[in-house]
Amino acid sequence: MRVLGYAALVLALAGAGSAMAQQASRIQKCEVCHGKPDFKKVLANGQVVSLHVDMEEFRASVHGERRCEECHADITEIPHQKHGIQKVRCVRCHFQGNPVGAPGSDIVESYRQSVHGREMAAGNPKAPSCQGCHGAHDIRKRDEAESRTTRLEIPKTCGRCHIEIYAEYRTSVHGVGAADGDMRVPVCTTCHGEHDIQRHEDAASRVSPLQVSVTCSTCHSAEPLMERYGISSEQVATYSESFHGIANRFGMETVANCSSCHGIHDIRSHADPLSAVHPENLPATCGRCHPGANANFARGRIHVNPKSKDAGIIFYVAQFFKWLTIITLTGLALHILLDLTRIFLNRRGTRAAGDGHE
Amino acid sequence: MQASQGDTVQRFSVAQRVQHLLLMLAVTVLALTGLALWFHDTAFGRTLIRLEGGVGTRGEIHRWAAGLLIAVGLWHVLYTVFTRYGHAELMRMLPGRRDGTSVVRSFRALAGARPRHGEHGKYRTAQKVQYWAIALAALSMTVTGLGLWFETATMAISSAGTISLLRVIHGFEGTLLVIFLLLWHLYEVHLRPGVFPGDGSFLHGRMSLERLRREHAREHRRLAGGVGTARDAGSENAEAGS
Repeated sequence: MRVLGYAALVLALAGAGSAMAQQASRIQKCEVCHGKPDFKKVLANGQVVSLHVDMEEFRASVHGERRCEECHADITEIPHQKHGIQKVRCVRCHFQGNPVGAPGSDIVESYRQSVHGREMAAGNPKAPSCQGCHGAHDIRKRDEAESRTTRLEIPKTCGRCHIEIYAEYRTSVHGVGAADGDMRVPVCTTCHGEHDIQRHEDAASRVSPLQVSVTCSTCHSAEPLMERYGISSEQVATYSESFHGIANRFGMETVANCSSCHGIHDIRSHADPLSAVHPENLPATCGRCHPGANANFARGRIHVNPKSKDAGIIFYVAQFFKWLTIITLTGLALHILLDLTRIFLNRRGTRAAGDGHE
Repeated sequence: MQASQGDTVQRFSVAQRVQHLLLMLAVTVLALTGLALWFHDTAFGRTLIRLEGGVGTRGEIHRWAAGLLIAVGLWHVLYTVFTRYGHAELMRMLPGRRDGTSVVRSFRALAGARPRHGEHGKYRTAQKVQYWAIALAALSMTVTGLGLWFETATMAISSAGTISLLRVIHGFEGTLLVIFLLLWHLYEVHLRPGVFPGDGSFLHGRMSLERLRREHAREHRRLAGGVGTARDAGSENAEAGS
């Protein structure tokens, strides 16, 4: 019995050991070449592509426990063929109800309909696939600081392709906040969306002319959030009640939206001399749509709420008219009532007095 | 003023009636397109904006109607300045001594006092008030409206804040004017018992002698025998026409 027991133990240990050895050996097999930092290939156009995989980085990633061929499914022998290696398709695992327990959702469908997905499908070599933003061997959960898609890393990640916009954004009031580690300021995805990004000309885009003021308002009408920065949350309501705002809401695309005046990626505080809405720059900013705009355009407030005392004379004029309207309405209604009563009483009186003389 | 025909008298000339019809058209269109914008947040406003072909077309219709209002206004001013009859009519619209007592009498009547018909000329006090109120409102709406129409020029010569001020005045005053026209003018002219369902004199320009005698006694006396007394030809209602 004892002998049998030992034998079973030895067999079990051997089995587990061989499985571990097998897994380790497979990785090691790939590592023989891809583990070398100077492993690279030269493309036909002369471009040098590194084929090195940082195994330490890989093991720390969300896929660290995975085997190479689970993703590189078309590699069936080692050494593998040099040409025709397929790009890894993440949807092999990341679909809803997948058996391996990978996070799955219909996000990939919204990616396919996005500007990136459509460009990819059209064969644009610059269009990002999943790896373009999420990385390849270094993918981390997005709440980890090392992740490429963690909130404060997003601008850099998008900036890898959109470099000029990244440069503009970094100097903006939002970009400066993000660089300071402020988790509340908007990064690219806050305004543009994530997997469902569309061109700004597209009506479905969060930043299209008819949508952008709604997008800005998600933060700028939130009073507690705006208070932290000393910004009035009334600006959203005053815009939507302005000629610009009403026309925009009823579908006029040519009318000014938030970014027409405040800028897009280069939004700055109105106190910043480089801001499009700095008093010095207002004539030029307004003048883009209103030729002939001069320094007087900077006099008086643009975002005015007639219901607030801050509006000064406009508030008092509005109050005057409000009460005048109420009094007139009441007075005229009373007049009709009294007049009808009088006519009714007169008729009864005439009838009672016998045949009228009229 | 023309002499009586049968048992009616001519009250309004063709020019007056056409002016009134054009004014009516302009004001109705201006009110419908203006209120649409003023009440854009309500189902009423949204429906109007949709019916008016969207917010842009709404604005265009509003400005065309504004052009019509300005044109009619200019015609009316020229008519009262350069035609004998038009000028006489304007003079008849000026407030006179009797209008003060008439206002007091009306209020006392409303409060329950026994009504005594005043000795009115061609236009009763209430009609004079309506004429001048509409004239002043049209002028003020035109001025503020032009300021909003040519917004760049307005801001360039004053300030950006002026637009907000003009907008508040234009919107509130327009609303007030609509209330005034519906609850006073339309009630007085068409809806009161005795007149209801409507007075056609704004179309055919005629009024029955009987009604003239009752409501405009001095005018009736004047037309009936030309027995215009010194009182009737008083300075307050100088007759230049006829």
